[in-house]
Amino acid sequence: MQQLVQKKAAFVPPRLQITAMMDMFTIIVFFLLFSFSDNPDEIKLDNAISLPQSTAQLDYDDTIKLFLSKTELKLNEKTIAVLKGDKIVDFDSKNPKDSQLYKYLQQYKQAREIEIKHHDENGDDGKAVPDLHILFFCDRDLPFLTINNIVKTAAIAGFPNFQFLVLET
Amino acid sequence: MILGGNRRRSADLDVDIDMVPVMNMFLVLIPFLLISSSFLHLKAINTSVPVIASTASVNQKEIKKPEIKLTAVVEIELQSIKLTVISEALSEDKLKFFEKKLMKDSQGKYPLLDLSAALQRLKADYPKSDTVILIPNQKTKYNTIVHAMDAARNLGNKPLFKHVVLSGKVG
Repeated sequence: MQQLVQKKAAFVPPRLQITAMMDMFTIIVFFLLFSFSDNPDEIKLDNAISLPQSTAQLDYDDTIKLFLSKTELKLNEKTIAVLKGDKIVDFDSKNPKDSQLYKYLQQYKQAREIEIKHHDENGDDGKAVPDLHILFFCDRDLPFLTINNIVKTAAIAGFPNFQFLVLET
Repeated sequence: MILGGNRRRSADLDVDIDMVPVMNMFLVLIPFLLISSSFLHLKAINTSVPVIASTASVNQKEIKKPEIKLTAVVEIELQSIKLTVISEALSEDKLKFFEKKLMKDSQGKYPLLDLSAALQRLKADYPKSDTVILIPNQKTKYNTIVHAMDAARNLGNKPLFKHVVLSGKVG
């Protein structure tokens, strides 16, 4: 009996060793604190687009988004053209007004004109309607020939100003 | 002696820190920080494409040198970068002074630092100049175009030409 009691008293539950876990959590917390952002980017980046790196420091505006990858052209997440071998399928560079890009951009332009008209009629707090420009996402390996067709078409449609999106170095 | 022995035993006692509240805090903090962290920093370069001007050009004759604005034209060719300058206020001889042809180096890289240095000299003489027209070759990659824009806009921390216009080759 005495031996049984001694055996029961001698049993010590094992202690969980959490020192290593604490070390790991501390490092993770400090790393995440450094990469904390009060305004995280809300743009869904296409995996097919590798953006170039740049020393630019300007923040981008939330405006019309144009995505140009090696396989397709998207306007605000809607695919409007397909690329094959750096060339846009069904795109005539001599007649850019026949392209889908031009037609969609014209719709945006008309919507903006209506917005300006309403703004002028209502006189909203003296705030001006912001100028529309295009936020351009382009894969870094695409040649200028492909890009030039796109930007030229956009300029003809009434959008000559762009913001080229880049990764900060 | 017994007292001394007791003191030694109490000094040897381990003090256990309760880690459970700390772990609880970390388990709440880490998901919150993960959700609000940003690993990719996106920035923008303002640029434009040339449009037909509807306003008449300003007569820049008889303007003092610091007020003269030059427009730098950077042509990215396959093997070199060609820098030329256009202005209505200067003679052709003076404009040719700034012309340069910068060849690729032995590793096939464009001499963007040399381009920045040349633009800086231009900016130092004519500080009002703020526009660069970039004309890449059809086969020039977008990555090279962006780097050329960076070289035209800044040299280190010094701002150079803030307006970059992207244009195709005419003719």
